Amino acid sequence: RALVPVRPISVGERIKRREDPRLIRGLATYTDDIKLHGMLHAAFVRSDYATGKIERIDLAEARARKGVIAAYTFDDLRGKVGRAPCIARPEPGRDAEHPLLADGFVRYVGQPVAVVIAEDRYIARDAALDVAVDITPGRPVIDLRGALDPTKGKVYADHADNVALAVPAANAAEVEKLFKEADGVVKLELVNQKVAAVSMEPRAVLAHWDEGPQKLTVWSSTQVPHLLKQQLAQCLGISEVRIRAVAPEVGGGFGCKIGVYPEECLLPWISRQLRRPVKWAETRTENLLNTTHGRAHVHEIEAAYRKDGEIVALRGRVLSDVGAYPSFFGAAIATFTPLMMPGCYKLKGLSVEVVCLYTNTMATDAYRGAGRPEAAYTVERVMDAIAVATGLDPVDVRRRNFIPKSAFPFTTASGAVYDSGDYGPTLDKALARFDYAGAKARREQARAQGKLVGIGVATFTEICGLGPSTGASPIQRTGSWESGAVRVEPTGNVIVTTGASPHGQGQETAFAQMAADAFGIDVGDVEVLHGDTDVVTHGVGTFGSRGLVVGGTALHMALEKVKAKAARIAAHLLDAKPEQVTFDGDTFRVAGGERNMTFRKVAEAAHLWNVPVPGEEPGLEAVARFEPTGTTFPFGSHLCEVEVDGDSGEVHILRYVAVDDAGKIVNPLLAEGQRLGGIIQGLGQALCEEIRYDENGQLLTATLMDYAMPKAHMFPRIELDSTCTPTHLNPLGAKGIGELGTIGSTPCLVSAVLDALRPRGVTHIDMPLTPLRVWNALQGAAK
Amino acid sequence: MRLEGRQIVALPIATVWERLNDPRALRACTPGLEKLEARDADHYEAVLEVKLPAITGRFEGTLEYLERTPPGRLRLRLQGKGAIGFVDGEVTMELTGVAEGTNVAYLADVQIGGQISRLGQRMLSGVTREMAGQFFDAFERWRPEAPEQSVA
Repeated sequence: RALVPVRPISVGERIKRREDPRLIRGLATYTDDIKLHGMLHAAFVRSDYATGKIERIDLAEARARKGVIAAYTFDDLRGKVGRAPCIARPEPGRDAEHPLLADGFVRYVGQPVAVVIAEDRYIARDAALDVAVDITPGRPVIDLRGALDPTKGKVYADHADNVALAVPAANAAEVEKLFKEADGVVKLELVNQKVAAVSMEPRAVLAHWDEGPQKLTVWSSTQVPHLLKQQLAQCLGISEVRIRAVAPEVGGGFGCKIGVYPEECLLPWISRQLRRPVKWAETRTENLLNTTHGRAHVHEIEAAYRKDGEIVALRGRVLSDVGAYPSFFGAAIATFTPLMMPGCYKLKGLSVEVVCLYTNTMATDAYRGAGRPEAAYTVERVMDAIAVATGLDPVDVRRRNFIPKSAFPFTTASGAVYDSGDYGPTLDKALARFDYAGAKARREQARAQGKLVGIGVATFTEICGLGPSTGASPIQRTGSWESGAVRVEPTGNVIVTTGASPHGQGQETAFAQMAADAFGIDVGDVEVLHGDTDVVTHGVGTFGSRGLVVGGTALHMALEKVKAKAARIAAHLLDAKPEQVTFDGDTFRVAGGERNMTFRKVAEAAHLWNVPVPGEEPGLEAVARFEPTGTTFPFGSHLCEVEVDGDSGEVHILRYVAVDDAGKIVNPLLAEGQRLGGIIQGLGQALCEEIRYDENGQLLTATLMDYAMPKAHMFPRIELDSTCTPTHLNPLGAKGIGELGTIGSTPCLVSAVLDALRPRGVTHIDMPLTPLRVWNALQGAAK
Repeated sequence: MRLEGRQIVALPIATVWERLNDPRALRACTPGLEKLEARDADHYEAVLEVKLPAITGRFEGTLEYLERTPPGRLRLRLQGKGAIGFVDGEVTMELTGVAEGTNVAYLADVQIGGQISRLGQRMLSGVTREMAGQFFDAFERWRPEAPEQSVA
């Protein structure tokens, strides 16, 4: 019997991203690269005031400018279009709708007031400056804590207060009892500052109403083309079968491109009015001003602990700044925070209230981690505070409170059901790699020399691959499942489609690996299509670390369906019973005989159909949808060493070690890329990023000169390692990885900096840890 | 935005006081000030053209003397609005006679909004400082008898 050549298995291999050559060579097509015949350009006139009544909008001068085709205000839209889509709707009385253009009143700086359409974008922008807008300004509500007091001002005059959503604290009495029994209480008030996603590609939309076939095509830099299509249908009153939404190359999203924005809804309407394609691509300043912001929490938290370092219970309040209107998911984000506040710890009680407040600033929404980094940051600050209060090592305090491996699946104090976890070995691996004992010895030596050296630690978990769909609202039109489809060509080459529309995650590479392995074909013989609602069967999109967990599982299911059909066809052609046929990776074989048929031969036969297979249809393809029955909880342990310059307040990161566990990995190279990017993004929040408004609601950080992004020179080589604790919730065993880095790195760095500053008497600091902040903390402590 | 500074002007305090109260001098010395027309002794209508990197625009508004206390304290309110945003602020000037002439200490507390405020804080404060410098340069050189001139 001849030896069967062993085909290399590609899942688990470090295969380079197939997306990269086109990205690196400038051959990728982003929305703004698309040019259509007769295409017009839009420019928005935006509010200069944070709150105020619109007295007059004069479009005459703009309309008279050469090259201007049209200009619109809300009066032109009234009764013809819906409002900006929102899925996390506050209850009546607290709800607020966001018109596509301001309806007599503005509530944040940058709110679209009018739009000008011209032959090119430069004329459009000049003409936008021609529009005279008279606004009588009011007194804005800018500060989150200030928004608690409605007598100081209200964002909506007809609301009782500024509350958009209030979720009362559960278990208050029970937690009160736990606090009484504890040895001590630590109390923290923490600001998780407002940040911007700053995707490399800002938002862009191109809308084309084709009057002949009565069809609307919208290209948009979105994470969720299928949701966009559904929302446009509802907002514009156009049947969804006449709408095609396309996410071409998308240069990053980080959550800020899940929401369907007013501009995205308005351009299709204008295109239909003018019967010409219309494009808008935001400037970087518009991106910082009017693309949803993230975080913007204040946490008032108390933790009860025992002398031995056990954390018993947490209670307090989460304040969340949702901005001037309810964005797509905005009001829901903060509800993840109490859910994830137990972290990887087996505390007995949790009683945390959530209050989402309106302010006269841009709306907030999902931002890489969306509610979970805020939780991890707070609980890790709490663990450090307990370590200080008890005099125990911060690593020991964490380990002491870990949920033991044997307890999974584990229901936390907040009611989350953790699928699987084994936190000890992950922490051990990080400590060994970091040489924790050696680092502590070096820290003592450095301190003896008067240096401000600190070690930070964060052990954390997060919730990924949200589901099941039982909580989905009808406005959403789709639940939390995802689709995957497989189409086999007569040659045996394969086209895969996924509803998990990527924007930098590398699904094209990872999904090609999965399909190649399923049929024993080369990765290069698999094409992965996505991001086009006319090409891809129904889907949802990529966010919440669901691309592989939910989208990949759907693909896996479709691959299995195709494989099963191929086996039935093979059995017939090999004159065997289906149960006699086995698949060894690329060939179907009849048990106990020499008869066999490669997958490619089966594909050919399935299409040629010259030997019909009774009971089967010709062809080889399948669609599958995966509905998650529960959520996954990946985790990690991060350690970092910093030195703070006591004279300048500058933070230098000396080492950073991250050991993460996201279950089974399809492509370690992609996983590392996700973690590295996430870690740096989280460190950016810890070190320098902050969206700041002045007291009048003017954005002070409207350029990348004022909004500080993390830069490569600020970081050492990030040292990555991993452990693998699969989940039982999907056949891949994958837990999700996109947000992991962001969740661990922010608390880890702050932990290290506080550790460095503590010998000088600094006990508290809020992010971002800019040199000025750190220097001020040192000066304050010296007094 | 708060702007604080001081400038030594090589003129006696009485002359500086006189010129700061003379709309012709303000008109001639303020960069970009296209129009300054009296409504009454304390209220003026003004048009100011501002040229900044990447953005140019005209502000229409008013200039108002809130306080004139000789020999050296002045308080002005400036309000202006245009396509690129709005400005609303108060400027306080304190003059003291020194050996080299007059020390002008100024404090401006200005609200800026709209596109102009989003140019970048460092750029804005740089440009404002430069404009203050241009103003005082021209102010020193200005002669009341000279024909209408402008530094714009």
